[in-house]
Amino acid sequence: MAVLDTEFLDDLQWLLVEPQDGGVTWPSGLWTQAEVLAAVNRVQSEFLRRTEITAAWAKIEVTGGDPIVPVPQDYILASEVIYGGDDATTPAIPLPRSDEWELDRALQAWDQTASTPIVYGDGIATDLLDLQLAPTPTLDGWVYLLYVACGAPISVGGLSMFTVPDEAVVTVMWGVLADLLDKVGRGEDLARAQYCHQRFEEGVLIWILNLQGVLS
Amino acid sequence: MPYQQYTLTQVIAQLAARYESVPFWTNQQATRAINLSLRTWNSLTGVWRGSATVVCPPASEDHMVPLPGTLLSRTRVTLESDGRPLVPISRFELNRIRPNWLNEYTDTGGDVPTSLQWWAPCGLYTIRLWPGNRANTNIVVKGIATTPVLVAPGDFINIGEDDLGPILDEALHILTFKQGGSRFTLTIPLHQAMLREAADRNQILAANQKFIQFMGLDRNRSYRPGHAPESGAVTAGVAAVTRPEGS
Repeated sequence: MAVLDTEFLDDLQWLLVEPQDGGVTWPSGLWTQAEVLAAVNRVQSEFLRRTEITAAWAKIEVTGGDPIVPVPQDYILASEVIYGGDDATTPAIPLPRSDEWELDRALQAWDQTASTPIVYGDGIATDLLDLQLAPTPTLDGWVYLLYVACGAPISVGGLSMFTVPDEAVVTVMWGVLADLLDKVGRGEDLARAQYCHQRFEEGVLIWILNLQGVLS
Repeated sequence: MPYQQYTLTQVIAQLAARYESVPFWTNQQATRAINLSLRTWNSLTGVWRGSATVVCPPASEDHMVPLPGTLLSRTRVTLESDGRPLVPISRFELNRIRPNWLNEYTDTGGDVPTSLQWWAPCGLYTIRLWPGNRANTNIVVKGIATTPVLVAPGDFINIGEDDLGPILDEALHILTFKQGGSRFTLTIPLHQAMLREAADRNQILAANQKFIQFMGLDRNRSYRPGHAPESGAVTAGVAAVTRPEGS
């Protein structure tokens, strides 16, 4: 969280034998600034999604009769969904994840009846930024969502910090190098790209194991 | 000698000593490679430890407590007032044992305790406390500290000699990346050797089959007919890297 984007881009330039200027110029012409930034943001999001290393949370109001729960704009993945009624005496219920296939077989007419929700689905609603409760809640209530948020996009000269921990920035770096060296063109270096990809996978595994080390 | 202080100047000198010819890197690049290597080592072994006191505000509407930036991860949580450790529990367990935990605070009454009892990790930087805090409470979180960063020549790290070896191996491997080709490939065993050293210190890594493959210890590969044996690969890699230019 203390690594600046310019430092990171500087390291990339050093490893790719480009002049080090904080990612401003890529004079070899093998990569453009825009595609480097896109690769960094993509890899960082993939790392966050796969490791669930950061946690964000939100309490979202739910209207009775409406099964759709809009999630925050920075949502990547739901780690935990808990449904509660507005009535303080109604206990909050952790909802397991489900899908239409399961619901059609286990709870027929789940989308035509209203009751207390027992599952949520992130692939049922047509909008990517919506979760759907099933069955449809009868009363007003709320959903407590623990989720993985996407990282702040990095920029050249922005002096912003990485969302992932400093120790995990190394893993992101390998992932970005894999992306860049895998590009079809003069800069293509499949051997090193494959190695970088393996280092990225290795880093993802290490962080998953680190998280499971205590409890997850 | 178990633990020593090594300054950045000393670490760079030791790195240069691992390469027989004129180093193909600048001091700035060596510093960056050393810092990348230190971070990798810390994420593998958690060698640097730390603790921090966290103030839990009484009016908090949720049970989540963000950890301070000086900690990379958390392993133990205690109450500052009397040193009582809170019991670690997973989110899954908390949801099953106390499904209504979201509505339970230290002032709820009934069977809900009046002081903090459990903590559940949520990602690396956040923990969930149960019951939710409604009093002025400080907790002490112990865990893995963030990796020290070496910038100035006099900056130092506390580390054992036996830990410094794998760190320098990894730094040398990173430095050869920009060269590519066989010189880089031949230093891959240095990285694998570092992973094996890390697995000696962290049994969670050593028990993972995928990690064993990353360490280069996948025996299926060496049992395959026609596959070159892996023994001696580290020595061969170092020899190739340390060979002077033009020889």
